[in-house]
Amino acid sequence: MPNDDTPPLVSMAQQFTGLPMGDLIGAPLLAAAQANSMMAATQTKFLLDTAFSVSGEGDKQTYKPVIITMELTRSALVAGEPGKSDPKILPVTTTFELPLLTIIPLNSLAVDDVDVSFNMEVKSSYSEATNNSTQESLAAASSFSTKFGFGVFSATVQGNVSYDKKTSSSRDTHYEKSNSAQYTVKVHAGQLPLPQGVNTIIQAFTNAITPITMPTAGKQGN
Amino acid sequence: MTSQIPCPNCGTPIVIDANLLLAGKRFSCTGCDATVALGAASIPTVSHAVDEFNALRRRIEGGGAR
Repeated sequence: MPNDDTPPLVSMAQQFTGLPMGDLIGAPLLAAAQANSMMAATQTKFLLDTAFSVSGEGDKQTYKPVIITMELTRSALVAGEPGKSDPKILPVTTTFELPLLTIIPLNSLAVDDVDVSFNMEVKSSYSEATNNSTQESLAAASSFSTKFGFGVFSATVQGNVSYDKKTSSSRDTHYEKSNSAQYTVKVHAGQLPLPQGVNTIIQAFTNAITPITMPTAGKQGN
Repeated sequence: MTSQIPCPNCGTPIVIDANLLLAGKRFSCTGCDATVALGAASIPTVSHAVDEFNALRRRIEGGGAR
């Protein structure tokens, strides 16, 4: 157990409280919305500039669709001359007009998927280990020897005492705190369905497609 | 670069490609076997539109939509 003077463990709630989650999530979404807005404006401008012709000025500007001419070739039954030849099936070419708008694929390209991923890991750990060890050893040895000599006096005293004591103490305190964060934003742009209004305009134009030139009998018309 | 138009003869949708139309290709109707092609007089108009469309797509894909 940590002592009273040990640093407290990290408060997890405190670590996550200050995170600007609104910015982390909202900023990529706002950027995607702005990108979509810019792309829509660009494509609208392309549509008006390319597929429409403008007449008039100011508030009286009128946009008229640019019309192109298409050729339609189909088999038609052509009557033969009475009593001389049989009716024949011949390819007949006619023309029809088509708004340019209907053959240019309007790329309704926009950001269709935003994936915001935020991972934050807070680690806090504390550990303390104390190790005390004492080792004592006592060794004593004594020896005496006397020597008396007559005439020449001599005495020898020998002694040997040893004492050994080892004390070791270790204390290991480990405190670790680490934060790691990973913030990933994935944006994918894809094709979106055309707006209903554009579809309605295109449908109105395409519904009006009809051949405008009919061939005369036995002759291909233009 | 495909789109659909209804066949003027029978109404069946015909899938057409503007680039191939510019190359002179014809597209057949699966309902009545009629074919459609781009009129010669309209080639410059469609060519300009296709060029503008491709330029727009490059700008968007390059992140330069302004």
